[in-house]
Amino acid sequence: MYSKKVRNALKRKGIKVGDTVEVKKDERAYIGVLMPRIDMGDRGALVIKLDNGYNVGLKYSKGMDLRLVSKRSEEAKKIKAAIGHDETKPKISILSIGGTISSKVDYKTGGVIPRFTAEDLIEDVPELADIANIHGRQVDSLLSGNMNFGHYKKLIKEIEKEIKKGCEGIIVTHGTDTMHYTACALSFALQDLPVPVILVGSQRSSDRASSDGPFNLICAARFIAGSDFGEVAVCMHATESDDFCFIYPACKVRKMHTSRRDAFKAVNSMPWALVSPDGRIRFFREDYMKKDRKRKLKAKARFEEKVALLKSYPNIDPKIIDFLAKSGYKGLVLEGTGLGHVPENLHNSLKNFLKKGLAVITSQCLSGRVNMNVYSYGRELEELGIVCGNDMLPEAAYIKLAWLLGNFKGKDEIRTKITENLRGEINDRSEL
Amino acid sequence: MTGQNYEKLGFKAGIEIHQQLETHKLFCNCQARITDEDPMRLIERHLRPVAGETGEVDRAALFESLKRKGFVYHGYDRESCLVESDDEPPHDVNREAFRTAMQVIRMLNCNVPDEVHFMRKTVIDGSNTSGFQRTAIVGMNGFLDTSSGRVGVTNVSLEEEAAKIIKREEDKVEYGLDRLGIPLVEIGTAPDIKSPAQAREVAEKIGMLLRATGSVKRGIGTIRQDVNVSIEGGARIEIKGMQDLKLIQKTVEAEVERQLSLLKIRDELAERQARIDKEILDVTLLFENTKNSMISELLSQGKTVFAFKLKGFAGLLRRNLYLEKTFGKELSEYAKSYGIKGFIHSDEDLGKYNLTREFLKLKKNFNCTEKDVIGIVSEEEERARKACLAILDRAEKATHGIPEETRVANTDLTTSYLRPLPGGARMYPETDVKPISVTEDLLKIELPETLEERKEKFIRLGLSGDLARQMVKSRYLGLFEELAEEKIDHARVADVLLNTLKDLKRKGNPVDRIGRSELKEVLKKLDKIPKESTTGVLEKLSRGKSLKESVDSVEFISIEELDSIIENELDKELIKKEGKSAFKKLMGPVMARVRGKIDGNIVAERLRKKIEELT
Repeated sequence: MYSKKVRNALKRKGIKVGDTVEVKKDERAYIGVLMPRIDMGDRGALVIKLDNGYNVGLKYSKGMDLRLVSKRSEEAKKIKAAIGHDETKPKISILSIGGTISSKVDYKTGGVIPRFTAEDLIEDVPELADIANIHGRQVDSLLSGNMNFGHYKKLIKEIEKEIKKGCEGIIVTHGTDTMHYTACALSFALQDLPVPVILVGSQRSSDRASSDGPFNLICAARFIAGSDFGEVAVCMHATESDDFCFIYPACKVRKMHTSRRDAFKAVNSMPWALVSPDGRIRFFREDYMKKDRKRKLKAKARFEEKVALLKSYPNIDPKIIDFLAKSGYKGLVLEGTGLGHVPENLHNSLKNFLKKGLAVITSQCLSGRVNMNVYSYGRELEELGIVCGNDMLPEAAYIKLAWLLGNFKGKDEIRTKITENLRGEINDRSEL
Repeated sequence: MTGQNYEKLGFKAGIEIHQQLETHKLFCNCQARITDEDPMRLIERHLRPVAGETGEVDRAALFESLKRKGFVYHGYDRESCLVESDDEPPHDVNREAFRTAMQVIRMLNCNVPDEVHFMRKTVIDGSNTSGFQRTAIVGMNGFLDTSSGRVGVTNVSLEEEAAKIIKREEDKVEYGLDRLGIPLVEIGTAPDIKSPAQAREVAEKIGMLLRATGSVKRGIGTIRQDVNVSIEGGARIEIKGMQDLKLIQKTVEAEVERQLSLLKIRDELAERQARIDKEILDVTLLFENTKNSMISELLSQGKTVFAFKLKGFAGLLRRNLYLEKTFGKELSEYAKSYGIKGFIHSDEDLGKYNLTREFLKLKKNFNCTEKDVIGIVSEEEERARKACLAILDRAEKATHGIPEETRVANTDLTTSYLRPLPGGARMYPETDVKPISVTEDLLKIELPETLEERKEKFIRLGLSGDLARQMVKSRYLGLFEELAEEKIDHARVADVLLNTLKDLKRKGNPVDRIGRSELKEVLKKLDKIPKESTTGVLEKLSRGKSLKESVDSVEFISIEELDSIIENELDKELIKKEGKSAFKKLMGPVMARVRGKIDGNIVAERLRKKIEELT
């Protein structure tokens, strides 16, 4: 947004963003469209889009020769073509939560506009219409970094609704930052899922012709339409090339790179399958739950808020754990070092925390399994009552603990369930 | 065509110059250079039209064409990173490049915006992995004075260079990421240029001014000039790819000639009431027993023959438009994108093609008179049809005038059709790059001395006028200036840079591989290296030997010392016995004593001379 001084000046002159203006500076006149102020840079500089398409910033000063040339012309609203229905094709519902994949740039103003209706989706990715009858709806419009348990609840409700209406599968378009948390949460909350729920994101923004979003979306739709898979999973680029996508297990996937297309990787597991945009599917594992539209979905959407995820590091202050205990935290997932260790100076505080709460130890190595028997301080931790997180990813353990605490009562029952494999979050074998 | 009155013709031209800067890449720290190494990895991508795509291109067609097209990017070790592969957001803008751009805009008397905004300019031919080029206006409304008047500078931009094409196939284009992202300064003049000669002068002047900054790349492909040309009644034609300044004037002159010829053809066609019916016939059957070996070969591959009529065009297709290029050749260029090499028409010598009989029948089929032309194309059905349509379409335009288009310059001064003139580029903000406030300090950047001033300075350093003039134009200008303060023989340094290196290169030594810092060290030590050994030292360096091996560990000898060594090794008996052929036997022992200390050619020369004296 422009600075207050600029906004006032614009208001006085009856100029709005999108209007054509003339600015005189250094005895030169600049004529162009007034653009919205982007967040970065000098908010006191007017951004003018010149005739040749370039934007330039011109610093506003009091008494500057700035005048309105013409108001923004109202454009005729585009009438969107109705989408036909093809009886021979399955119905796929696309629910939009937000993120890069669900928005487009307004090329005139540079602003972001949401794109989530079926019509928008088909216009952007016409291949979808060849695969399925697409229904699209917006649930939220969030940067995934801002997602919380409340948003999970809302999303789960919407998925329930879509499944009740009947469909062959659901695609959730999601920001990539916390997509693996959401995938895991859906996996726990949606018990006896009849049809697949596939999360799809995009690493490169959708304004660019090179965006990976449409490719991932096509692969997800191909996978739903062309397989009997019936679980929650993540569908993202398998490599830096636009060749195929991997279908990742919801609780064994992690964003491992900040920006690459193939940022998502399966950890301590194989991907379920690979899918290419022309519909070829190859499974690496067959132990998935098959699709069954008659199966009755039981949704358990409660997640305990008072759960923390804490990474152990040299010189860590035990007071952090004391604070969690004092603040009434019921669950704690520790990201230990190596096989699952934390410094001994945390022991007293952990002991105190465990009087009321539950704690799970995982490893910040991510790959591999924790083991409390190899070193003495592992054994000591176990004696304190910390639950061994096995080969669970710290994020999966965090979501699982919050879900268990939200839906089950007895501490012992929860403790047992943590160590059981419920949704593929624990593998009892570490494959070669 | 010289001697034209360009003013009378309503000649107008503007130039666009793209110059690569000598620094690292614009939005990352990769080395900005073209490599001949093998790629470290290959990445295959597709591009898609994005929402909100408007313009004249049919969106569905665009979709189809892009769907079929794959792009393969070659990634290199030091010349590309995730920024080039569109897998990481751009880093902060290269400040060195920005400073150079600021120098350029001041030298061109431009206004500067208070805040520079980088834009994303949509490019979907695959030459940018992201689907857009990052570009920003850094200066506007400047001017340049020439001997025939002032020429306005519309704008100066700082932008990313595109990836370089390695291989183009029908459904796949391969690009190298080494060139992508090299900083470019783009200078666009107003259409104030009034003659081809002035076009050349403007390009030369801007080139000199860019070189004066000392921060621009030198060599083939590092500067590109595009010229926009039009004459009264003609059309705006953009000519791309003139890499040599000398070609600009002549290419532009040829373009004017082309436009004049096309205007004449238009008038003649009007008189003849020429008309294009877009009727295309599949005439494959007619060629079943053809004696034309090329067509019978194509037919055996399952290809077809399509024919069309150009009513009233007889005789025109064989007419030269300009230089050696006929109107027929011009028409055929429009069909090239469909994979055909050309088309055969009745304005040609059909006997030569063994096609007289077939064309007689065709003329009958199309109800032709003597005034009409028949053309045929042989290709796979769909493509043949499209190729015919493209030719017909172009022929129809000839009846109205000259189509506006982008043409590419050939080395023979002709130009070839490339594509229609691009519409207004679609641009939107590059939100990953912070706008840059142009502060007072940036504007106060010291301006470089002009090349003229430097020439005078070099003469004061002891260079001859000729050497000094060559030096200011040389790619080694920057290096030479860095050595200006050193207490060395500057004339000799200049001679090495301008002559010795050139000679070595001509003899096939990869002198470009000598590192800049190595070269500088050698030049600093030049007084310790005898004149006659310089070539040898540089040759060793270019062959990958270290500085130490080439210079430091070597004791050089002078010609006098060499002569006395030769004297010692001479076997006078042998020379008496074998005469001149004793050389072969004597060269070995002499070289054994002087190898690495003096150029072998000199040794041979001195030895031969000595033997000659004795025989």
